[in-house]
Amino acid sequence: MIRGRVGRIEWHYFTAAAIEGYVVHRDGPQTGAGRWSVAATVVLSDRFKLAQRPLTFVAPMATRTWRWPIEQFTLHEGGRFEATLGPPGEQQHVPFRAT
Amino acid sequence: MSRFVRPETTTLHISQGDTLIVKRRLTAGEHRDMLVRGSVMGEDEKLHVNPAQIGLAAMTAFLVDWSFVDDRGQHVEIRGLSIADLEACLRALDPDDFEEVKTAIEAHENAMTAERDQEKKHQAGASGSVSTSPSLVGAV
Repeated sequence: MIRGRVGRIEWHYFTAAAIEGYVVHRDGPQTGAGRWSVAATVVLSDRFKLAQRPLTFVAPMATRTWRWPIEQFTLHEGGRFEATLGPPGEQQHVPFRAT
Repeated sequence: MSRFVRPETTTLHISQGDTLIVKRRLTAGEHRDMLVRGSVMGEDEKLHVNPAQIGLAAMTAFLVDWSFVDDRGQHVEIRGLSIADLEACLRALDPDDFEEVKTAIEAHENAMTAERDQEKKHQAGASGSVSTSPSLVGAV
């Protein structure tokens, strides 16, 4: 389980929604295929961009950023957001070039 | 063909092997926001160019990501930053590097404007003038 405060939902480079508080779960085996899901609170959203595909759930950390493709989601009244996610990708904040 | 801006990016190559990832085109909203940031209300109640935003408004509008690193060699993450945070990051650059980024993005903006103008000319040539519904005046 991963808990965090600040996240966002992206459509390409656009921010489709800003998230304040999220919990990512992984069910099933810890190696190989598992099912990922997220429950979050959306504080700002753009309906047009949320209707586009593909959407990505982004969780920035101190030295890396996790990115999960959103497979299906529901945005409830009051901003409660629930989604099933594909396997994550990780972008480390490392040099693009030798310095 | 869709009238919405597709979220496409272009990679600009600058000195020292660095790269800038920029939006190919701005949406109407991004364009208007850029114009608002670049202007300031004068005492004469007219809009004037905001000198503090010269170049900066376009930079924050177009820039998506870059390869820039800090003193520890860590990639400085700008993707997803607010305009205010991105501005702060750009203001922290060395003045010469700021100017290089500004020049590269302005050249990209000009190239995209020229490309769009060419497309409009091509479309106008292909479809002729804007069609209007026939008037019924004089039909009786």
